[in-house]
Amino acid sequence: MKITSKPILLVEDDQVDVMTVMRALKEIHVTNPVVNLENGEEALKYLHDPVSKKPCIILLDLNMPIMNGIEFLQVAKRDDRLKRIPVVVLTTSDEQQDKVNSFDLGVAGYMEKPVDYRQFVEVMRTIDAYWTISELPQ
Amino acid sequence: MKWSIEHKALTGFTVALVIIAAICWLAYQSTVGFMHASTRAARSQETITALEEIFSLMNQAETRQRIYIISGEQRHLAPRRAYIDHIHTLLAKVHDAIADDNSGQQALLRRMNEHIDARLALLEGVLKVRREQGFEQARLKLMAGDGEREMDGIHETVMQLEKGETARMQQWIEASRENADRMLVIFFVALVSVAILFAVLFLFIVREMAERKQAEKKRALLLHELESANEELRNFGYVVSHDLKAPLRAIGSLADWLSTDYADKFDDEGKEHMRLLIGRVRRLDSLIDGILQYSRVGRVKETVIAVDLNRLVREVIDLLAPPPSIVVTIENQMPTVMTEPTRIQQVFQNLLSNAIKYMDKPEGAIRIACVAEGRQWKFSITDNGPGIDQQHFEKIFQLFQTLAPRDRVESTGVGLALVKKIVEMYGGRIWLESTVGRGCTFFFTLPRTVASAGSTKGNNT
Repeated sequence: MKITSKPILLVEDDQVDVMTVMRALKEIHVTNPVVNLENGEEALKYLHDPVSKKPCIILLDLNMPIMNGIEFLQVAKRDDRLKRIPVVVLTTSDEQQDKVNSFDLGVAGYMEKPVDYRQFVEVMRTIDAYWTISELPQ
Repeated sequence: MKWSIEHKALTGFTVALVIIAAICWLAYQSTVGFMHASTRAARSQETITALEEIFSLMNQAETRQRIYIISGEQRHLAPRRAYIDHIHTLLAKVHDAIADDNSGQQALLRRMNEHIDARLALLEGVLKVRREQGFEQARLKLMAGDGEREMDGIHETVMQLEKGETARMQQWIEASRENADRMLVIFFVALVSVAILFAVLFLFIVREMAERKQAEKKRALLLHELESANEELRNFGYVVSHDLKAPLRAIGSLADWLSTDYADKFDDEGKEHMRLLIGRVRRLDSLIDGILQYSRVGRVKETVIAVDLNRLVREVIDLLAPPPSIVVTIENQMPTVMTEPTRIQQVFQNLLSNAIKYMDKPEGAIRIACVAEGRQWKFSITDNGPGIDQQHFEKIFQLFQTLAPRDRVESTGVGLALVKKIVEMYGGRIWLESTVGRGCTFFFTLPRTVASAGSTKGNNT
């Protein structure tokens, strides 16, 4: 990531998936702190809290309890303070409708979680590489 | 056979129309009868009047004559001629009126005529005597009583004729009354029957409508059930892709970490078990993918576009990247077809990947061809691989059926089932010919109605 001090917001309810992301990030030497929240509502609460640090990127799962990823995007992308934070969808769903909905709501990327951990590490490596090169507004 | 509502209504209205027509005809007949009877009754009345007039005229003629005989004044003879003419006119009228009678009236009339003629002749005779021989002779002739007798004869026949005519008039009046009564009955029956018919028809239609409404309700309910079932299936796809894959991915990741983090703690057997474990995770993953792909065919609709199969097949070959030992040839120009690109790609990809995957010869040859056959394109993919025993021809198209153990050749058993489903969805057919050890040919057809370009033989690639 370009700015290593800003946290990565991981909105994900599956514990092993969280471990997978953490491990992969560690494996590719990403030092940003990771904030893990279990659903969209928790994430919005965190983002709206003035004391919490704004993340440099949001890794978003779609299928979550209480408030799913699409519902989260519908709120976040209407909020002027949040809409410029890049959101990368990280999901198992390869349903066309989910992809369409996500891009309609202005996501920066859509990654399918591979079953194979090694492949997952490569996905994370690519995401990191991209967001290390890409400029972001302050 | 169940009649449709239109049929029933039409029949009902036709019957109503026929009844109305029949009633109209009957009413017409009765009216005509009534009019005829009324006319005849009136004519009888006139005849009676005429008869009475004749008798009175005869009396008057006689009276005038007597006055002349007594007085000898010529002026009393003057109206006599007119009376006699009038009598003859009336007689002719009566004759016409009873022309169709056969109850003896005509005979009576003839007799009356004879009496009148005789009486008139007698009168003429007396007149002659008065003129030529004087009053006394005439008086004697008049007193002879011949005239009296004839006059009685006239009176009697007139009475009889009147009696007969009155009876006839009564008959006609009776007939006209009967006709009038019948008309009333016909109108009443008509009114009631048409009313009943329309009521029955109305009830029929109302019941049919109710039934139809019921059926519609049922259909709507069924449709709703179908929609929810479809929705469930769609959700099932999502559940399979996410909820089954999430734990599977966790197992895969955890197994990977175990074998990485504790590599030095596992002995060879443990390492082998871990390798198998990760392999099975991958297999289950591709099985789930296969189910998803299979369930999506026909459920998820894609835009139908013109697909140039020359390009598509080459792209598929590039994607599969066959080893250098296998040569894939497109034997002739492929057509351009109107279809969903992903589906047709799945067909070629699965058939070609099977041919490549199971190739057992050092020099593999796979040939792709297409010919126009009637209203269809017939595609063929021929390989020189191991071939398939005829007894398996049916089985290989079933879901999850494989011929080789999965450990030897990694396969989900979805591919050919998927191909068959796609081909049949487009109205085509799939089959194969094979000689064990020499290879096999898969054929499939697609209707040409979806095709838009020709195919020519012998354009090698």
